[in-house]
Amino acid sequence: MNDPKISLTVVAPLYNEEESVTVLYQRICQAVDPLNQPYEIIFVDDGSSDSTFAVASELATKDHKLRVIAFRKNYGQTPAMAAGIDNAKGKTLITMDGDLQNDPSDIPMMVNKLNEGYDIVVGWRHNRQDKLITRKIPSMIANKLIGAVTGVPIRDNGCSLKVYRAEVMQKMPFYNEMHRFIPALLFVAGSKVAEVKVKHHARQFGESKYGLSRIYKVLLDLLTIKTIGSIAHHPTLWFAKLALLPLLISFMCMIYALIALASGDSMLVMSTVSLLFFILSMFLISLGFLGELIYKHGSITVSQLALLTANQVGEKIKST
Amino acid sequence: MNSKIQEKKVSVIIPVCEHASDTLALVEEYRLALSAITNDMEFIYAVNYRFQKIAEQLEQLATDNTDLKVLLLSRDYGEGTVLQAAFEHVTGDYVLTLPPYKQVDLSELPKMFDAIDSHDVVMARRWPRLDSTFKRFQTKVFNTLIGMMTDQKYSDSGCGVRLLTADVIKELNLYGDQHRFLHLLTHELGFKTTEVNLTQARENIVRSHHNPGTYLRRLLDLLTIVFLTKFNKKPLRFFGIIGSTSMALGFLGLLYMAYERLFLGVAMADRPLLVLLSLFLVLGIQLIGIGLIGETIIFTHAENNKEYRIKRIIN
Repeated sequence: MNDPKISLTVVAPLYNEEESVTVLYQRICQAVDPLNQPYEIIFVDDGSSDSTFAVASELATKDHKLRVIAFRKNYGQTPAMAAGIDNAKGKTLITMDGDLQNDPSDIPMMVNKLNEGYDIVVGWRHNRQDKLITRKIPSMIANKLIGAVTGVPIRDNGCSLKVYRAEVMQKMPFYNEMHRFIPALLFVAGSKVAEVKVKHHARQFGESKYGLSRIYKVLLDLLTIKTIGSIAHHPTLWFAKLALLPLLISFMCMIYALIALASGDSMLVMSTVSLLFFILSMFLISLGFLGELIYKHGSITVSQLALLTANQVGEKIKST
Repeated sequence: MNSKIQEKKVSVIIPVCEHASDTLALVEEYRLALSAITNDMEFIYAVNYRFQKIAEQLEQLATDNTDLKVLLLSRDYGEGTVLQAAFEHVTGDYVLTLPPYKQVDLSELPKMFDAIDSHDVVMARRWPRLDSTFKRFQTKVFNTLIGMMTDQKYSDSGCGVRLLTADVIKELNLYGDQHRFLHLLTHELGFKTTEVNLTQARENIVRSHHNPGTYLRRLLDLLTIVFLTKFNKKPLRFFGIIGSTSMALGFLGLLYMAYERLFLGVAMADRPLLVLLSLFLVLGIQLIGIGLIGETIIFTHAENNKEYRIKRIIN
């Protein structure tokens, strides 16, 4: 996809942002023009029900460096970003919110930071203009959780304003609500990650589209990310290790039941429990074999898996 | 009359799966009704193996009619699979599926074609419906259930009359009895879907009733579809929530039993409750395990299984 003529791609998902599109477009141009590098802007219309697409395509007819991708229906923020990234031609990718909460004027600073030798520069909304209960607190918990599980102390995983090297980003599997985990995953894989403070504005137009139910989703997604990486390494072994504890419980219960039998007590309950845990451990081992099959036939290459399961080397995140 | 359709080719697919009325007469009737809409049409009959006789009759007819194609399947399949087999042979711009018996008043078919202008999929609803109250109630319950589980409100998803654009069938992959949920799948793919009322044909009124097994099968199909559309890319969200509930129940219960045993001196080894709680724990772990395996499947196929569908790209 990379086009040598274009060095920067700005990707912004839009969902019902008819008021913001034009302003966003102008601000991006204002911010990126002084860099004097050939760039393109990709607006991804995520199935808006208002005139977002009409406004954006109107702009695109006048300016050919603006490209508009329209979805058939609303798919959500991550797929929208994925579509933009998949179609990007630049060597450097910049993703940002489409609702003017991120300020495009931060872009030059972040691009310069990337050029200091990083693979990804993450925005940190240090002065966040959002509601405390419904936005800031869930996001704080999510960030703490991600940090604790992945061991990556990024303060603001949810910030959309990020700058990446395209070749790093286009290797990442990107679906569901994965955008939140990208910096952490890349860091674990040994990429150099920098975190910089960015401006954050309160919403000017429209309503916030994301709610409180995120925590439980983040929890399950984390479990997924954490285990997919480890399972991938050696599915049979991973599940066999998991199967060990139930097997142990099963044996202990069986011994207890046999002792009970010898002394003439009832052994029914304990032997049933023993069998239950035995079945569980067999089940888990079978899942291991199944996992082996899945990875054998899947389309992800071993090197990509290595990317996810690599040991946590790399230096501490630098912030400014 | 919709003049745009007149220049377009319409492929008519007629799946013969469960029962069929006098086929040869019906083809003529369909042809006559459609000639009011377009002159360029083809008929694709997809016939389950047990209706070999019908296929033979049709093949005879096909020797004189080059626009008639007959597919005889190697065994009996569900209507979804049969439709999918026929989709592979479509050459038209629009695909109209019709049942192998008269279900709606054919003179009202143009209404479907009027609606396709602004939509990708048009479903027919048999209305006014002439069936018995019981049949109507049955349809109502089934469709209300679908509506509740998917927030897609349609009133007659079982009706075999559907009109789709050729773009839609390129992306569909129906199997089993999924024809009943076609509208849910097309919605998932991002296509605009709507419903049009067509008067039910008098010939469609049948006294027969389904056997209880059918209802169970429908319910299972519905659950599958809900799972496939709602948790398409996130199996762990589905299995995880049930699994962790069950696991937590079992774990906390066992913890309490251990507390009773250690501190209150209540015997543990002979209480059936121990079996029940262990069962919850085991079940929970199994469900989460399955969810994780599901996630690995999604993960390893993420590359060629894009989550989004693009309508247009400008520049």
